[in-house]
Amino acid sequence: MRPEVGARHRQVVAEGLTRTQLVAYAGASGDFHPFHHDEIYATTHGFDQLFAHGMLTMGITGEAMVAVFGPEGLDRYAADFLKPVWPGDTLTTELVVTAVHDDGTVKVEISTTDQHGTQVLRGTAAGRLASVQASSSWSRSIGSPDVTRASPMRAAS
Amino acid sequence: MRSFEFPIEAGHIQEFKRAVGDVDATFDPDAAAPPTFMVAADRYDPDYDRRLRSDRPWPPVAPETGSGFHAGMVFEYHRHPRAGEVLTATVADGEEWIKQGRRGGQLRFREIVTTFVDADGQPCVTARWINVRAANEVRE
Repeated sequence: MRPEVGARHRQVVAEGLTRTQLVAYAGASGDFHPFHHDEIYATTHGFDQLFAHGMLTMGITGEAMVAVFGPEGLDRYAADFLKPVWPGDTLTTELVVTAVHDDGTVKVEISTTDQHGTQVLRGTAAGRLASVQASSSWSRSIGSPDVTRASPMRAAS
Repeated sequence: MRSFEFPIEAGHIQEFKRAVGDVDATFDPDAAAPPTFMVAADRYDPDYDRRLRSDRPWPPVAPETGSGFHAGMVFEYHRHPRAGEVLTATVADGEEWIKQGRRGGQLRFREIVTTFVDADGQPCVTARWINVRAANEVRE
């Protein structure tokens, strides 16, 4: 069963983002810009503290993409980075279906917000949904969608 | 325009998956690259400047002097590469445009387009890095 236009998928993709994760991303991506791991550099250049790479936010949001499109279902994934993401932030991604095509592909709008409800990333994606998720992870547009929680990224309090 | 090889390594995919939140990702010698993995090709770009280099000072140029900020990214997937492949990345300048900023000034957007092809020369992924800075900044 395919989702209808307006169906939503909501997923907590990061709970209490850690500085360790920023460092891990710097190593994995190769992007060692000091804004993302050097607190002194970041504050010297006008920021309150270091902040996440935009590509880390997009990569974390990509976990929601994989959840619904599968590892090889995406045809396109685009994002604008709207606001900085800080250590400690909890991020929730919501996907809303905007088009369903006869060939089985869908388009979605993407919104990732922090724990204050501030949108930090917006984007679009298109592709073919993974078969299992196609029938299980979408909620109708009316009412509160089910929230899938990220299993791993929970910072110790 | 410049080109370089990007070996898709299983251990690198595992490391990248863990970094974007799949912290229990295991080694999979046949893993598909995650959606944003192509950005990690920068590790193999000899001209990449967000790393320690013997020929340039560190830290790199601060944004207020002209390098701008990463404003967005677009990936177009022709197919999803897998561990074990060696892709060729070609980096080229893309489109440029100017928009009015919300605080009154003009913002200059610039695309850097990286095209990834496989060993047969067939397209895999096109990545568009979108940079933004104040339009009145002189330095590129």
